[in-house]
Amino acid sequence: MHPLIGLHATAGEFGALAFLWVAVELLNPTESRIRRATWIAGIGVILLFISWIAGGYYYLTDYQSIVKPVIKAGPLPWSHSVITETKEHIFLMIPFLALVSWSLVRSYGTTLIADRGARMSAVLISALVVIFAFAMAGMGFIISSGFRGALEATVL
Amino acid sequence: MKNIRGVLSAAIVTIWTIVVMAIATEIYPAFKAILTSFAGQHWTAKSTISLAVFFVLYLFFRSKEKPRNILSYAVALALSAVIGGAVIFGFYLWHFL
Repeated sequence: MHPLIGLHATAGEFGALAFLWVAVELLNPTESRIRRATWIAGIGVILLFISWIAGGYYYLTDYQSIVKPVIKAGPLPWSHSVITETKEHIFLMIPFLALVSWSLVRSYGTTLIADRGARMSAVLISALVVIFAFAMAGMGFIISSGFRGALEATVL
Repeated sequence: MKNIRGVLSAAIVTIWTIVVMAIATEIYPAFKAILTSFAGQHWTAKSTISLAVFFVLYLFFRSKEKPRNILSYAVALALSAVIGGAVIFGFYLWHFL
């Protein structure tokens, strides 16, 4: 267990939930819902950047030197070679998608009520943030399983 | 960031920059070495470059006029992220096998 992993996962999941909230608010928007969605999207962007920094710092310090060699020597080396490698790059896309969603809500404001195209754009990108962020959580589970599998193979 | 055309265009190019960097570091060791020498670790360099690309292109593409076809921009961004993600996963799967 590592506190940076806890921070990375918690900030990431709350960031994802923030954009789920934004998407739901925008399905049937009113002035107050748009105001709320703007705040929540801003908080979501901050959470996802915190997740990026925490996860990145852990990846560069502990993961590269300690976890990666263990996984690669274990029974599930693909959990690093395929899943971690994919995760570390797709993860970079999420804060930018979040910034786009926040910008859409801030930029259009109450015109989202009448502008269906802008509203659907904000819902689409927010939903994509949610899907990508939860996909990261799933990949994190696979990577943890790769590490645990390697340790179990050594101990048991 | 209220210039929505700038944000969307910058995000699309940034995503493809990430995809190209991810693949190029595996195919060209010299590129990986350049990134490592730039920031100490290639992932740090990719993070820094993607942020720089996004903000520079945001300034480059920004326009006070909102695009008429905003949904087309958003769909292009969503497709870029999904296809780009699939390309990265497919590449690393192929590389492992």
